[in-house]
Parts: sequence; structure tokens; C-alpha cells
Amino acid sequence: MKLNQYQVAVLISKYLRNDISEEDHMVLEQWLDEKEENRLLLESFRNGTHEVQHDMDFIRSLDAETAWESFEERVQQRRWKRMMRYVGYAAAIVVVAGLAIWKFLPGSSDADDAQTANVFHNDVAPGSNKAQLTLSDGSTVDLETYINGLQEQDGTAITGSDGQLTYSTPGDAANELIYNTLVIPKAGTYQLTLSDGTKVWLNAMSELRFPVQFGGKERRVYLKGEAYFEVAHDAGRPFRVAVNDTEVEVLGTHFNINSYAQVTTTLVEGSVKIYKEEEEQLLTPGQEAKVGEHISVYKANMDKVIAWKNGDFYFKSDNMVEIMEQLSRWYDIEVNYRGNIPLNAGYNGSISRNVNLSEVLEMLTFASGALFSIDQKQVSVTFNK
Amino acid sequence: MLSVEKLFKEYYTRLCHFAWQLLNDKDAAEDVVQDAFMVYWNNRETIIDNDVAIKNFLYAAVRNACYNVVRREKVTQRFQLLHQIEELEESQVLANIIRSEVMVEIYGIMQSMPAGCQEVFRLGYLEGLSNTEIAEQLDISVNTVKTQKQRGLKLVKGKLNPELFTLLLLFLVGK
Repeated sequence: MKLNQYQVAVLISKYLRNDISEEDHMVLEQWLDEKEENRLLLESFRNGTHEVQHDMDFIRSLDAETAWESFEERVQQRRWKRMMRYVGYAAAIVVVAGLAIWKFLPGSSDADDAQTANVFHNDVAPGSNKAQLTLSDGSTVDLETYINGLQEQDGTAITGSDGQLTYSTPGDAANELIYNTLVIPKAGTYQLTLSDGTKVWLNAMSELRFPVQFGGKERRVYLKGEAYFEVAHDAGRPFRVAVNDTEVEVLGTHFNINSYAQVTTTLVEGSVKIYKEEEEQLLTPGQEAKVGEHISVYKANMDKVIAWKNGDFYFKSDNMVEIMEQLSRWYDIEVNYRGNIPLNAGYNGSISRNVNLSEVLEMLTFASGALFSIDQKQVSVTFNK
Repeated sequence: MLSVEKLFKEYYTRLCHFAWQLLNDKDAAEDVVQDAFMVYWNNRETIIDNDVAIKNFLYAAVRNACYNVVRREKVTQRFQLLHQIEELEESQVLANIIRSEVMVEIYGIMQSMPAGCQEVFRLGYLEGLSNTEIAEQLDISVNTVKTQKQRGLKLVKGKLNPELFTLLLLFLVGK
């Protein structure tokens, strides 16, 4: 008899409960004899006690009641949305009929070309893993198509797979530093593991210049754009990020630097020091430093800062221009504005970075009342009123 | 036929556990299961009203959703270590299903112990507290903790296979 997976699970449970009949036990033994893997599976419930505890902890942390409530809510919302769609159709018919009547009314002017809905002539796919690597000899490699078998002059192996690049660990510190540069274009992102084990996530339109192997005294890299760092701890060699005329010094910690506009350093854990000319400022986790003429420290909205690294857009009291700047970097689009753009209005919303542009724009219409159109890579934003 | 609510509550935990084995991320696992139930909800008229058929449908929906998450999340590298799951063989998927089904069962056994006993058992076994810490937390004497553990042992003894029993014993006495 061929058992299905649920029958096997019942037999194993009975067996573990010591509540298995002679007959069932024979069937279970037959199943165990079928494959080595089957026996290993049974073993996994008996050995590796820590593993089982891990599973139990997970199961205990679930709450089916609450999950059901939010499921029910989703179903309700969906019904409501569907209903609204019909209401929408009905409204559209009324509008069309109204326009037709308006048009044929004696003495009416030509309808003006005010936009009444989003117009998408095409859609724009989200960004993806894209980067160009410049090696120390000046040659450039397009990482979207090629990453196999790269090696630097000092023997450092550069390996990678889809979207991520790793530099091999050295035997000794380098005497003479040789540099590579990773350039992320619009609509790109990439992750990099440096030779000391430090991990760097780079956002679109960013650039990191770094030594293939670090020297003995410090680990210094040069950043443009935005990056999230998880710095490997090495008390003997501070890690320094130079960005514009600001320098960020750390020993081992997690933080984000955004320098698209003002250089903004946000500390997730550990501690960092920010230097600008004569000034210096120590950050504690949850704080961020903005460097203008001086260094100012604020409380950070961590979700917002880290969202890009986790694959989301996260808008919180952002105005339309700030939002569209983010979108233009990720979708590689050009943005035109029509009408009065309320710069002091802030909008909230969060959406995955992996959806097509139209989805993000629909959300923004909902949040702001603005209307959008997409034509090739041109996006226009219209505020009627 | 089970109502959707009963079905949801019956299968939610095991499906989450199954997704969690693939994604190793609790929030992502719960999201995936919510989505799978939504797929079920939209297709429930077309699915044969039979326990195995429904379970197969739900597990398959969760598995597919997990693969989609991994594909989508590749961009952000959150799940970079788990890329291999796209190459999971069918037999491995079945093994994972069996694991989830049995884990939920074991958990159920523990839940079936009397409350006082269970609390002591839970703190000691699941949260790894020492007898003294348990006594403090529950505001009972260390001796009561020990008695409850003994009671728990007796109760479990009749219910469990000697090997699993030894496993639990380790947790109960080892602390």
C-alpha cells in the first residue's frame, strides 16, 4: 500500500506517542525501509533536541485566532473593493454620458484637456540587480552579465552570484592598497562583502570605492549615494566611510548612509562617530545625523530608513517631490510636474519595491489625489484643483 | 464540509510551520499562509470537498507562494541563503509536510497536560528557565515546581514513546 504524507505523519505521531498498533507499526516499518531519508526524518524528531525546541517555540509564537481575524478583514475589504469597482464603472458611465451631453450642448466650448484619471500608456518594471565593477587595472565588468572567475592583481578572488559579490579574505594586510569601484546605475541594487567580512548593500545611483584588501591601520571606503553597512568588528582597524566632506568612523556596527541630498547617517546598532571638518558627533542607536553646515542629531524613523534594504518603499510625511525622486532612481524615469505641487503636504504609505510602477502610482493617487500618466520613461504628476 | 473558519484554525499552524521551514522568517511565513488561504477562498467552489484534496491544495499554494517570495526577494538578498529551495525535490517537500504535521501533533500533546503542570513544563521546556526562576515567575515554591515536574513526567510517560519521553525528560530534569 502506498501511503500519502498525511498517513505517514499520523503513523509517526502514533509511534512517538507510544500508541501504535502492531499492524500500523508494520506499515510504518515498511515505509522506513523504503528509503534512508525516511529513517532520517523519523530520527529528526528524536535527536537534535534543540531543533525540536526551536520548532516548538515557533509553533507557540503563532496565534491562529488573530490570524483568522485579519484574514476575515481582508476578505471583507476585498468585497468592498469589488463593490467599489462597480460603483466606479457606474460613475464612469455617468461621466462619459455627461461629457457627451456637454459636448453637444449648443454653445459649449471644446472640452479642456484636464486629466480625470491615471493614464498609463505602458508600465515600467522595478529595478533589479545591476552594477558595474571597475577593477584596479581600470577595466570594467558588467555584473549583470558576467561575474565568474574574477581575480585582482594581488591574488584576491572576487566571486559572486546573482546580485551579490564577495572578496576573498587575505592572509595578511596589504602593503599597497589597490582599489575597486562598484557603480550602481538607476534601477539597480547590489550587495557586496568586503575582504574583512563587512557587508554593504548599495541602493540605486550609488557608488562605493574600496581597497581590495585593507591596510593594517584602518579600513577606509568612499561612498556616493546610499548604502547600508554591517561592519565586521575589528577593534584594531577602525572602519571609515568618506562621503562628500563628511567622515563616518566605526568599529563594528550596522548603519545606513544616505547622501542623495544631505549626508544622513542612521545608526541601527553599535556606535558611530561623524566628523566634518573640526566638528565631531557620537551617535547612539536609533539616532541619525544630518550634515549640513553643521552636524545635527535627530531621532530616526528606523522603519523608513531601512525599508529600501528590505525591499520596500516607505513614505512617511514625505512630499510629492521627495517621493518622486525615490521612484525615479528605482524605476529610471523622468518626472514632470503640472499644476501646483503642494510641497508642504506629506503623504504616508508603504509598498514593495518589486512591483511595477503603475501599482505604486495607483497607491499615490489614493494617498494624495494626484493623477499620473506614464509614457515610455516619462511620468507626469498632475494636481487638479 | 468544514467551514472556512474551522479549516483556517485547524491548518493555520501547520502551514505556517511548513512555510517557515522554507523561508526561515516568521512574518514572511504568516503572510504566505494568509495569501494561500485567500487563493483557497477564491477557488473554494472548484476544490473537491475532501480532507486530503483540501490539504494538498493548501500545502501546494503555500509552497508556490514561498518560491515566489524567494524569487521576489532575491533582489533584496534577504533570503540569499535559501535560493536552493527552488530546486527542492518533491520528496523533500513531502518530508517537510510530514515534519510540520508531526510537530503540531507533539505540540498538541504538551498542550493537553493540566494547566499548572503545563505552565511549569512550558517555562522549563520551552523557555529554558531554571527551577528557581520558574518558582519566582509563578510565585510558587521551588518544591511545588519540582512536584509539578514529577506530575508532568508521569502524565507524559503513558502518552509518549520511550525515545521521545527521554527527550522531554532531558528538558525536565536537566534544568
